[in-house]
Amino acid sequence: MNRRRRLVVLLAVAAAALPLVGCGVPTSGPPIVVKDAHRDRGSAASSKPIEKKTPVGVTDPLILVHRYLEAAAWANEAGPDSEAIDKVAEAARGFMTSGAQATWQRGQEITVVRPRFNIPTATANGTRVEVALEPIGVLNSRGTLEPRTGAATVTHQFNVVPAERGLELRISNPPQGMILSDEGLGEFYDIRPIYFWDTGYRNLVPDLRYVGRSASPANELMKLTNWLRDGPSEFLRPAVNPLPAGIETKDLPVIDSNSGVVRINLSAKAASVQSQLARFLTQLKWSLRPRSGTLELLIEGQRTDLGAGLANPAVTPDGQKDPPRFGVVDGRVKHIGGDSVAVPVLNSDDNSGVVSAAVLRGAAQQVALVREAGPGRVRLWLGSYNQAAKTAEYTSTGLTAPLMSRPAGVTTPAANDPAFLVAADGKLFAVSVASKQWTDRTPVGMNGVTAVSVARDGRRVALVVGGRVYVGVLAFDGSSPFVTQLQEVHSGLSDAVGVAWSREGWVVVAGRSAGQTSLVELTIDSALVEQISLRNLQGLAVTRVVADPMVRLDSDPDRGGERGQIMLEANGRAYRVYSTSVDEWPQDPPTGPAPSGAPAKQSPPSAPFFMD
Amino acid sequence: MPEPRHREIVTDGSAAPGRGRRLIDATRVRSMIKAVRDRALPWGLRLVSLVVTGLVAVRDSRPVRALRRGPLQHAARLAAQARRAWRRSLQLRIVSITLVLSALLVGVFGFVVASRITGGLLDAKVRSASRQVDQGVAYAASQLKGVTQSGDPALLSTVPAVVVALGNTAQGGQVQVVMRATDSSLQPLTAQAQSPAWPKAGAYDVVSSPRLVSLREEVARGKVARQWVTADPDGTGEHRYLVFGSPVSSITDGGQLELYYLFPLDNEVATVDLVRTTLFATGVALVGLLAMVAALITRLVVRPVRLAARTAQRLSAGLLDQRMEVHGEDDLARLAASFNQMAANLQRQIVRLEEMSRLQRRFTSDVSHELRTPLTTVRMAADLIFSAREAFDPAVARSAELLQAELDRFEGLLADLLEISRFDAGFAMLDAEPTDLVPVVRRAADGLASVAERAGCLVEVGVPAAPVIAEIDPRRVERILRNLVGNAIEHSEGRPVRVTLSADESAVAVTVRDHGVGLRPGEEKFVFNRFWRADPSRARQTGGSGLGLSISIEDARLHGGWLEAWGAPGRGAQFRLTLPVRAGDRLVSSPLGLVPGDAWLRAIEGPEPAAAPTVAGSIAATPTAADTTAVEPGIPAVTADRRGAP
Repeated sequence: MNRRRRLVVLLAVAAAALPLVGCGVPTSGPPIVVKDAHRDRGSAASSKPIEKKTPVGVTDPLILVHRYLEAAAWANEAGPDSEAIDKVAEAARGFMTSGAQATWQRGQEITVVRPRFNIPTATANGTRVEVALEPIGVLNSRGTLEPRTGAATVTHQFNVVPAERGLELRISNPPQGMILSDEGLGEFYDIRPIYFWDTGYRNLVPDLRYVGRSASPANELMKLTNWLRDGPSEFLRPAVNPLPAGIETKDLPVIDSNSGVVRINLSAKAASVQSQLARFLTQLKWSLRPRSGTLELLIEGQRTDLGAGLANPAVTPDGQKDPPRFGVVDGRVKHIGGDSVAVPVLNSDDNSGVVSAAVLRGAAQQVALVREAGPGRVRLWLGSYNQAAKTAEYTSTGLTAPLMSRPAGVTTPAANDPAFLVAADGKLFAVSVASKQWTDRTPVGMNGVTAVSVARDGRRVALVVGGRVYVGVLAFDGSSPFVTQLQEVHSGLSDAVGVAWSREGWVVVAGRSAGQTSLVELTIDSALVEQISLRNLQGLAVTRVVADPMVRLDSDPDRGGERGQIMLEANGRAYRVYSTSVDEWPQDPPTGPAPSGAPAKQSPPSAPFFMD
Repeated sequence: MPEPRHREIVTDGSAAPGRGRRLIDATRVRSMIKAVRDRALPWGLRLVSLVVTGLVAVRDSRPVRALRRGPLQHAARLAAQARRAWRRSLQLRIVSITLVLSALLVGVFGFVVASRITGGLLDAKVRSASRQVDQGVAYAASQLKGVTQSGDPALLSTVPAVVVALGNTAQGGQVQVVMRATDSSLQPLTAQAQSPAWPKAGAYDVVSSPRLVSLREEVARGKVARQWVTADPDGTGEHRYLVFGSPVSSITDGGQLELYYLFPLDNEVATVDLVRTTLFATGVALVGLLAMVAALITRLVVRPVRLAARTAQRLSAGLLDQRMEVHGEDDLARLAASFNQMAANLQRQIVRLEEMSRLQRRFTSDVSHELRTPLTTVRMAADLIFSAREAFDPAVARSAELLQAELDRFEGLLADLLEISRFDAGFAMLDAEPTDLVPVVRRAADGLASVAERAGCLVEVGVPAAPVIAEIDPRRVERILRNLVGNAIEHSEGRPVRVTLSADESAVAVTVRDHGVGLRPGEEKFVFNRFWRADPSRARQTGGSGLGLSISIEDARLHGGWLEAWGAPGRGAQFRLTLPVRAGDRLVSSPLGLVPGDAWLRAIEGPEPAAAPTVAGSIAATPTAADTTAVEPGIPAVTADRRGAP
């Protein structure tokens, strides 16, 4: 009895003291994981629905014209359905006076222009806004912006008058046809490249497409899948394969809201091309990003087991933080920064007297060196690493010239015979690694090729010809590449000196504009142009620009996508482009023991480049 | 063999009783230690054994023992007092049980409430903090896009701007926002005036301190994590913070930019303290009030119960008309009603018995008185006849003598009856005066000398030389002694009768010893009953009424003394009269023993008694041949004590 009572008393005392102890705001504790950090999946996942702007509440005629030039957005996607196009064109009609509405013909296609506004002038019954409309191209129903070459800039005088009723303004004389400004393109469309396998089924080549931002995710996926089925654009046609005939989608793609899995149902014919489905899956994975978390292909509702598909050879290696950079230091090609990578082929005595160089990535790292060959002449050398003998072997090609651009490596349908493109003496040459033979591949009518750059996919190429930038596609004659489908890229720079691929569908062009050195990044269809404003850029005489685009499955291909690393060569030195400034490449501290006396001084690196 | 008390455990002989078990352990331990020490054992064990020996020695040392005795004894005494109070008072028990249980319940509930409130507060804080952190991270990531090349000077200008912007938009007190890089990208910032922490630069040191090293590890692994920490970022003292950490973006050289938020918990701490103190105060007040309420309610129940106990006590003391009040119809009322019923029944029974007894006594008294008158007349006539008996026939003269003798006897019997009825009626009065008992004893003995002669027995009187003074009623005492001696002579069977007187400071005693038939076991009780005769066949030689011993014991009781008998078959009997020296004193002892010293002796003088059965077993004595079994010493015969009412 006693013990029980004592126990109860103890319990009571303890319980009475509990509120004083125990609960309270903790003074310390172990870290508690809340969740995994959200990897930047792109802002597209949280995009708000975009709404077109209306003339409501606009009192400034300039703004009215701006808005009018964006009103025709999305009209291309309505397809051949005339009524649907009409509905979308209603937005444009809303800006017109009733008289103008009666006479305005919308046409079948949207013309994308780059407008340049002049100062509006007042007229008797309103305001006149003069706009120089520089045509960029035509946005077709498959989201491709077909460049309009040779079209002249049209200047249009917009008459802005007050509306019949109310305080709003209206345009009384809109130009015929649907016109979309580049601003409108950027605002109302997402850039979504779709991918095709090249003719050798070795590389995935992106095809730049524009998808209207109003679409629901499922709608967007459906459009992309349909465009994939409809085949590549004109520009890429010689270089890539369309989808095999058997692959046809049966229904709309379905996104599982819980798990984020995207399911695409194919018709029964797909069963006949079972072997090609892996490739199709890879194309879809890359085309549908960033929405495609997990992709499932179904044939008539049956799941297929294709695994993760094939790899895109152009993809940035996983875990790469900073692409390996190379430069020429004291006449030797060296790895000067970025992630370290073993390039045993550079360990050679022939790696000397180098002016510029290129390294082609791959199992057998091929190197092309432009070495001094006497006064005022340079020669192209090719080198590779002999695995068996463990030595680097360099061979001289016969190609010499007073001036050579940096070579660019290209993989060819022949796996053991890649090629290097180099611009020498104003001509474009393709040099075969296996045979060391060089072929003149200057495009017809092009004189003064000064720079060449090959895209990561290895099938698109950018050239600087006589201060103008061109983009083309590589086709192969056996294993020797040549350039076709050249189209000019209007960068707005008067004198381009260098071009490089900074993103999958964008090139960065270095040149002069209005007497100032400037760096511009633009899509290869010239639609979207971005000035890269950098401190310290002025005063640099840029001679070369190189870039390494980021190709990642989880990055958003829209204009929010990240620009790749860019390096410049100016004044004989390598420069590194940061987000808002340009800085000289930091010098490495001298490796090896410091000799007694004056410390060894290394000269700064020049001719920087990334691996091709 | 007496069974050992539980304290006297058989030990090795060296233990004093009371130390008991404990000492055994110590001794055993000591011997074990000694044995261990004598062997060659590893030093560790030896050390242990020495330590144990030392401890035991300390425990048995004098000061420690005194210490154990002093305060512990106090505590033991207090505990005993408390236990007594607990046992006696129902109210105390109920109140203390209520106190304990309500304290337990209130404590548990208070703890539950406080912890739930705290948990809710902290959860809300964590949720809002988590939201803010998510937004902050998204903003920072968007601002830092493209700026994450290592060495990019824009990084060093963007980070402070981001931190300031985030700090300004943060809600919930003075939130500290810190941007940190796992590599040395932000090193130049900490060197300059611009700090990657806002509003207080000290927050950066807090985040880099060892307190948060495990949080930093988690964040470096790519997780969003939180930790409670106490820190002092702004020099105003240690405060509690909720620290959230999240990676923002990676720097090209392998590092990672991380965002840390320090949310101050001062509001939550204040609220929790307030809740806790309120709960505690309320709890204490509640428990106190509950105890008071319990006390009040217990009184409601305890009071009638106490009343019932008191009434029962009074009833048992003799106040038969005590009744309880009946209020209402509940259990207490039922208890009271039953009690009253029981008391009424008892009272009725007792009154009836008393009445019956009284009637009997009245009857005896009335009859005695009524008989007196004719007796006097008859007596007179008988005396006359007796005085003129010579003139009658020898037969008639004999009849006249018989008549006179029997009338004498009748008178004696009547006197005795009257006397006893006086006792019954309570009219007996004690005339106590300091009297010397020696002549009283002698008178009583001498008065019966003729009877003794006739019976052929010797009456020895043993009295002290000095006078024995006591406050007694001489008449009554003489009567007692006469009766006792007379009885002794009658039953002595010729053997001597010894009368002894003795006294001490508080009591005087007279014993009358005879060696006659004695008393059978158990007869000592009946011997003082009225009209009782041990052996009805014996003739009354002295013509007693059968009330002698009853009157004697009443006389003795009147003095406040004792009259006791002892007897054993074949060994005679002894009667002892003990009276207090001062009238009114309470007797506790007697100067003479009741059992005579020669109790074990058979009668050694005179002829063998007719029947002398042994003590063991037989109750109904039948006269048989003389028993020559040896005397067993040492068995005390069963004695009867007749004590006066205290």
